[in-house]
Amino acid sequence: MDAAVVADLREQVALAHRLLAHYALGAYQGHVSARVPGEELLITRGNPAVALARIQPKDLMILDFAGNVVEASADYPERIASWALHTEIYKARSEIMAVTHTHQKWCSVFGIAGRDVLPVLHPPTASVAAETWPVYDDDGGLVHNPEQGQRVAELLGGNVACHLRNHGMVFVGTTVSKSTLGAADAEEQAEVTWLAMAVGEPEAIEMKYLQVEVDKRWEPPKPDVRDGVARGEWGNQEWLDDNPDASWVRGITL
Amino acid sequence: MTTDSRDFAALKEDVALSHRLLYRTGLGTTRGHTSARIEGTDTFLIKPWPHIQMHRVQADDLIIMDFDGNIVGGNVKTITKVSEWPIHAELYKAYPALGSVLHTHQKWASMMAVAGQTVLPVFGAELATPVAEPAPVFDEDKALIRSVEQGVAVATLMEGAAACHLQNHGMVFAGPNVPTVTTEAIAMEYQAEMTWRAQVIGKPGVLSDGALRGGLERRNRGVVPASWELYWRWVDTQPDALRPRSADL
Repeated sequence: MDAAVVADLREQVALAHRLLAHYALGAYQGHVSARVPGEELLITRGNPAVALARIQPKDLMILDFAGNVVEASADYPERIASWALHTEIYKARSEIMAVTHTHQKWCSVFGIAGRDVLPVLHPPTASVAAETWPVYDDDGGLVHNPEQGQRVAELLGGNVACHLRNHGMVFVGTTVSKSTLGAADAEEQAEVTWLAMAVGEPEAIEMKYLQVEVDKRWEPPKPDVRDGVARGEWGNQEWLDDNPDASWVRGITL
Repeated sequence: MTTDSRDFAALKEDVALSHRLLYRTGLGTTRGHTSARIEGTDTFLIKPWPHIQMHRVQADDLIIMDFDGNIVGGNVKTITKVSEWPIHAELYKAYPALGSVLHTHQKWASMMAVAGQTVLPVFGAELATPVAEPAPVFDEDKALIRSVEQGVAVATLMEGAAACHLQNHGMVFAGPNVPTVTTEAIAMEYQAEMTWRAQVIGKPGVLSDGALRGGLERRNRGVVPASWELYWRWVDTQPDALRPRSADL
């Protein structure tokens, strides 16, 4: 285990938890994990649940793929109940390096209603919903043992998201930023799909406009560089993290 | 307009303020961009890339581009241009009267096009100018507008229009000056939300042509909305001004 790599992943996983709070994808439940490269280990938050908005690297723990606690957190020593959701997805698909589990409202309501979230707004953002997400519908959507985790991994297949019906969502990716910002992108698609369904027949973006993003999903991540200028992996998200008030819901009343 | 003039400094301030207001009104957080033609030249001011959080765009963050996509001035040290610059350049090229162009992914207005519905002039005659006529929908190509050809196609469709839907993507606004396009983007979002809310429970009633005429006439003459100085500049200084509230009786 490379100490520098683990330290960087701890920073990123902690940031991802705080962003779940910023994007209103969770308040104190929900968890993000990262695979430790080359190891059968993952980093995620511990229990009991703490406000996602204040999770720091020291609040995280390392689990092995059998669910044993390898490195505990002093304040949050118990493992999360849904640990097998993470371990079984990592075991099933070696290209997945991060898993984000949320109880986000708009996506979850589509799982409950048995309707599909459509890719409706801004092709790069919408590509998370390019294909219909599978629905895990066992045990109230809970994942409390490896068999249930394996079932989710099977349903997920090559997709990037899966409904845990009556419970929430799971998103996966090749980086912590991708699985976590994918959850935020998905929530926007879900809300806009829902609003459009109330007054008409939503028009989805055709696959030909999404394909370029879909094709990149499982490629090794590359920095976003234009004209020799690079954007950091997390873009402006780190700024958002430093400005917790920036994410309050804004509205217009003229 | 020379770049050392007082007018130019004021223009930069307005373009920066436009971004901050889009953020404050919930029309965008990082993506989206406002530009302004630098009068008497074939250049315009625009927000650079990588995206600066809308909330903190300042006058000196902006870059100057020519109509061929070259960066010719402004803050060029660590940044480059947004990929969708052709939206702006082609509109300025096609319509000499345009002073400002604005692009957003605003939720309500974008959603209405996704639903195949028209945003109607339903609320406040002065606020309904961007939808006095139904906004055209650009749906021949849903890829981001990154080529000159796509920019020309959008510009052609927008002839005379204040607002245009980019289907499954967002909105473009074009008008005589920065205050007009910015307040029209904000007003459009409100018309879209109010149209949607009315449509869910009934058939929306719309403002008559007569009611809309005065506002449209002032807009087309390039009159800066009074709200820009009196209200929106104040909003910029009040972090809490637009925090949603509810009446708790």
